[in-house]
Amino acid sequence: MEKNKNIWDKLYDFFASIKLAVVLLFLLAVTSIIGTVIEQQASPDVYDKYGPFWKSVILKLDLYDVYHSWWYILLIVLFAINLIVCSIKRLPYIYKLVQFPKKELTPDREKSLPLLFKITLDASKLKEIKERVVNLLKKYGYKVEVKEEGRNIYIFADKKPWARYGVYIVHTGILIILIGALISALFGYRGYMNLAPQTNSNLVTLFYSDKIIELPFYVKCNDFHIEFYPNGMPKAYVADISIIKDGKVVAHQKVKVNEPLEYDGIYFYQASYGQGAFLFKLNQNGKIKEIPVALQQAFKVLNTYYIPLGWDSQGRIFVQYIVHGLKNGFLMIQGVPYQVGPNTTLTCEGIFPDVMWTGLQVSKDPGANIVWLGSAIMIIGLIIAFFIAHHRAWVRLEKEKERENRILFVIGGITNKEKEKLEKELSNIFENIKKDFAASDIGG
Amino acid sequence: MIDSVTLFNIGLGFYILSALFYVIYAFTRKDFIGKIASTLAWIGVIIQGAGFIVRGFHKAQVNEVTSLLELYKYAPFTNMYESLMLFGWMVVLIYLFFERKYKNKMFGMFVIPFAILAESSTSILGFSGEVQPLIPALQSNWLLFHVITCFIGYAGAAVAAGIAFAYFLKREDTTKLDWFIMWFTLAFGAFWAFLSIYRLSAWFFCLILAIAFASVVTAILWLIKKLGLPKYFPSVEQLENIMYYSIAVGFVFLTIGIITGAVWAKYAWGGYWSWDPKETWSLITWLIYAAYLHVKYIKGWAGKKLAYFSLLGFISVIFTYYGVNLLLPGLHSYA
Repeated sequence: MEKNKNIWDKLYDFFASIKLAVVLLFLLAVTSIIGTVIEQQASPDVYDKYGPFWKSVILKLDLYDVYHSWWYILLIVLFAINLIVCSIKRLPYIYKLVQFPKKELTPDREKSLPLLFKITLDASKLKEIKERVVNLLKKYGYKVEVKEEGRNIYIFADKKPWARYGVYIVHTGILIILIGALISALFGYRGYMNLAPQTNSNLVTLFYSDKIIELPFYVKCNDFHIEFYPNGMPKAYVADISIIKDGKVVAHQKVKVNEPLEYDGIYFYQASYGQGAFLFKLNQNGKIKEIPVALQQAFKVLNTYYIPLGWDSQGRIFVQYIVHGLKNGFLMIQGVPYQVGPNTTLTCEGIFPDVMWTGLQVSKDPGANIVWLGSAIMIIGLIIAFFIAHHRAWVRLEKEKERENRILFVIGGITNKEKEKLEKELSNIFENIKKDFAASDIGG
Repeated sequence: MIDSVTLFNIGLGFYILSALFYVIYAFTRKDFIGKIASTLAWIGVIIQGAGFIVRGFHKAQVNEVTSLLELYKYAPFTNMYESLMLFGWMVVLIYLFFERKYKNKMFGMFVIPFAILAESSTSILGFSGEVQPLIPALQSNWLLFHVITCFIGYAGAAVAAGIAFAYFLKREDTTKLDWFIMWFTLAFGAFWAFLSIYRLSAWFFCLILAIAFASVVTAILWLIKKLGLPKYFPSVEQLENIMYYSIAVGFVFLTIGIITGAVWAKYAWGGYWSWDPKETWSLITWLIYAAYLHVKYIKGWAGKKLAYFSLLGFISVIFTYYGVNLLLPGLHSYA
């Protein structure tokens, strides 16, 4: 048989193994360490300190961005496949066990039960015995079924059989979390916008990239201030923010740390603050437009994004510009107009070193709700898997062939945990029956 | 108002007395001594519980909280001092829970010292017990729930590690490697605890101190085994069960702790996961325990391998807590 397995069977067995799960969990744990030791997503020259050899290793194996590297993602994909295949392999078995149990405790099945008690009873009280057993089982919370067949009465009792699904609920939750994370990674973004009071913008500069996102509305900072405790520690950073769409204020909130503003699935967080703002003047065919911006905040002229990154005491402003995704920079001198397009000039009219701005983090995360859903499912699954037990008990009342006045009473059971509790339940029932119905001349 | 630090210290005093009585109990096997040990531990738990309440009110006062409904946001678990107190308290509480469930007082002497170590590492030299106002990042609805769940998780890991020690003492086939692993776990834990007291500049001194400490404790454990005391421990199977359950409890709460942390991060940091060192290390810990939970189902892998994973998980917990705070500061720099 083993030799006839084709490649798919082999692959299936490989992915269905729990050993692989342990190995993958372990590998993920070990490789995750790397990212906490080596600085992540830094510029290449940061890694010079490791020497040329290790630097090339770091760069080649993506160790500078472990959690987004192809091999880390591969590990997660293998883990997901493992999870799915493992569950697919075991679920039909569990489903059968829960849904279609063998309900008769035949003599051959007795042997397979870890818990079993037997005694000979007085047959004249058969009906009473049956009722007593059923009631006791019901008292312990079992769902009971009785079936009479020939000389036997079979009693089948089940308690919380669904608890067997706990593990698979956990696995489903983990998969949903992974799906949510994937959606976040593909369709979400995180960036920032710095807004000085009374300025607005719709441009978000993304972290770790030169990409700029244009929001379909404007974000305006009405006010920003810091509150302090009596001992001088900061108590709150408060930015008063409005969302303006088509000239109308559609949302307004005091944004604090831990209290972001949400509009249209996009979150605005109070993340940082700083000082320094500029007033630019745009002259387009004689039409003048003033553009006030905070330090490091992007603004757009024609098809180009400009970002003032800093200034010096001689009134020079270092400006970065991005055209079609390409980044470059130049020094602007205060008061001097620069040609930025046909009949278009840009001038920095003023530098305001003391103006405080709020650094808002802007993020869109369409996967977050899916992650929360997966998390909730996982927690429910964990509680079921660890703390809710499935108990199953069988009873057979068998009229003896040789002695008409005797019946054999057999009770046994299985559980996926709480073996001691099941043992207690069954032995209590057994003792109870034994006390009142034992055949006097034979005993236990 | 009575000072919360005083209450914590009195509680710690009771833990130390209790540990002493647990040791005496282990050697004498007198029931009333065991009862004294448990009672002392309970008194310590109650006093420290009161300490948290007092501190919570004090904290609310310092933070200028006016509404009673807002009180829960100022739970006193926001710096290393407070969180170590919480850890110690949880360890004793979880231990007492298992003691009641399994009706065996033999491992009080293994578990209570974890709480004592954690709590005294604050008061020996290190962290200020002063009540400080909350920085803006910590003013959140999620604070209480996140910290409590994480620390129940950590405490579950500590209890399981204590059981793993008892397990190696109980087993007949304990090898040199097992002894080395026990010694290493002790040295690792002690090293970080010392380091958090003396700071990084004295790392070599801390290393020597940790090795000395681990060697003394290992010698005591060896003595306990030599004297045949493990025969009073629960059976090997029972120890495996207790270890499994305390890890199960710890794992569930660690999971909830990581998830509540993610929810909080979504509101404070702008994303539910940022690969911050603390987040990453809690995930590493989670992965190790997830592996542990599956090892059970591999044929021939149960037994000692479970205890190895339990100690490895605990080492990861120690690093998640101490190591990350001391070595890898990130967004999570408070505790």
